[in-house]
Amino acid sequence: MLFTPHRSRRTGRLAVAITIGSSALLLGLSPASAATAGSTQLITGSTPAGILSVTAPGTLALPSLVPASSTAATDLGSLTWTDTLNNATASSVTLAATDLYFAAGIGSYIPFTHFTFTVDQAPVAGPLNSGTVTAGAASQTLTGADTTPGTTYSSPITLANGNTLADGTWTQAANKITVGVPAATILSTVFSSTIQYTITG
Amino acid sequence: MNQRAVRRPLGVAVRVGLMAVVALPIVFGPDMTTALAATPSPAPSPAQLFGVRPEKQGQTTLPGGHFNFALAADDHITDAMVVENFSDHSIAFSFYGADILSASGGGVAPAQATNVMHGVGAWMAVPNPKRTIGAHQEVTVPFTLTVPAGERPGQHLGAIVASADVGTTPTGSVIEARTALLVVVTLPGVASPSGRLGPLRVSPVAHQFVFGITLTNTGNLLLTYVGSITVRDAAGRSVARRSLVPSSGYVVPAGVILLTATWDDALPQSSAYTARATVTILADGEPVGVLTSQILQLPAPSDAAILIVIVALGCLAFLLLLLALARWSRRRAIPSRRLAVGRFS
Repeated sequence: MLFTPHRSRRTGRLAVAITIGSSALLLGLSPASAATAGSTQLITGSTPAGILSVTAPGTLALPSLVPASSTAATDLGSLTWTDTLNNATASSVTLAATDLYFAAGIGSYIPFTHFTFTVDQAPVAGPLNSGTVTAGAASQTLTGADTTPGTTYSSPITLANGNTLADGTWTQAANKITVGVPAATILSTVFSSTIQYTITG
Repeated sequence: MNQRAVRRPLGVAVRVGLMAVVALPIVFGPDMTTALAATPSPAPSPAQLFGVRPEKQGQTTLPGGHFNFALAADDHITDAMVVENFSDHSIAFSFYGADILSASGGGVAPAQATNVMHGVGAWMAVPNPKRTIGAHQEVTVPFTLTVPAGERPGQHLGAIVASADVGTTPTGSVIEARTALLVVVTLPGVASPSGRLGPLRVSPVAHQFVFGITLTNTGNLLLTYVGSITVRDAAGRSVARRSLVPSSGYVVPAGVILLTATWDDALPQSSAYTARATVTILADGEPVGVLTSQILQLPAPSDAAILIVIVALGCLAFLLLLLALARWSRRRAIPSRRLAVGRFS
């Protein structure tokens, strides 16, 4: 091996650096003081635990329910969900509902099978998201066996599916509901229902 | 023929024309109306109401994250879910174990709390099923899982669910939100990843073919899939390949999913085209089998599409005929009116 003065200087500088570095460690110098000395600043950070959440719109005002006609498509509000579990599990955002109910008997409730949902086809992803989310079919009508009207939920419909790489926050703001009101529906009555949003992942 | 008589066919013609214009998007399929309805969504809101995570997230080496349990019959395990309330007010929660159901459109969802559970949901128990969590607080929700004797080997799916009413409409309707963490229980035994395709079907809708096929999980493992439809001409050359959607989703054991694909690039010029679906099924992300459908002869496109074109052209010809008739009547009416004026003066 050829030993040159240049290599000697580099080795010397390295030795000095190691000495200073180890002294700093031994003396317990803080990163801040290291920074003021013009050296490298050590940056540390920690991440919170991942989370799975769905934030459903808190209000929904249906237009007047006119027998023998369908309501206009009504905005369901902005639906946001987050999956940062990073667990290689695909996720689903689904919706189910109960009848619009006042009382038992013909005309006293509007079955959920008369609810049609228009699904926002362009979920908006957060800028740092990863993976792919695909919207459910554009138009879906609820189905299911309505064993106890007013209480039984419909079968779930898919609003969006995330693949196993999906991590982040997404929003669907253009989901809508249309209700077909049977002709025999009793007049001057207030009907209520439950709209249920679920994220599974 | 007087002017009123001329105006009536004109009015009819205008109405027919307008009806044709209104009917065209309906006749030519949903994509035109979909495009009109599609509005961009606003930027995601960072606001969250509540969220859940496995208690031991990041602290275990279980595959695929939590909750993945490899258990034998009669085995018992305890684990927990952490529920965080991010809001400025307290929230009343219900917690329960649930079976997993296939949702229409390719997703999965937990069964309702009031349903009778038959699988993993029935194996789970939550000691404190109802709790109220204060603003910006979190609680740990423990649960136990006991595998009954005699269960078949393979993977079984369930979920631990946190449910809360998060809003009420002016008319008393309730908005409910649920978050569900999947619970995958693997029982030892012979793993049998298998699936079955239903018959490939096609619906010619105006200028496109919509294909549909069902995939049934006939094995005992949780499946994912990748599938496509290949269209070939009479010489056997591939002329189109379309992915089956939904492209990501689980098919639980005994679960069924409807997969679809649309071919709308060009109308085939004859009925000599065939289509076939190929679906690769995966277990734990690894391919375990390739399923193929029957070879489907595509129907001639002329039936629906050409009929629509003929009707549209017929309407147009009728409209032009009426316009010509109106112009001709007007020309004839002018000299007779002059004559009438002359008489009265």
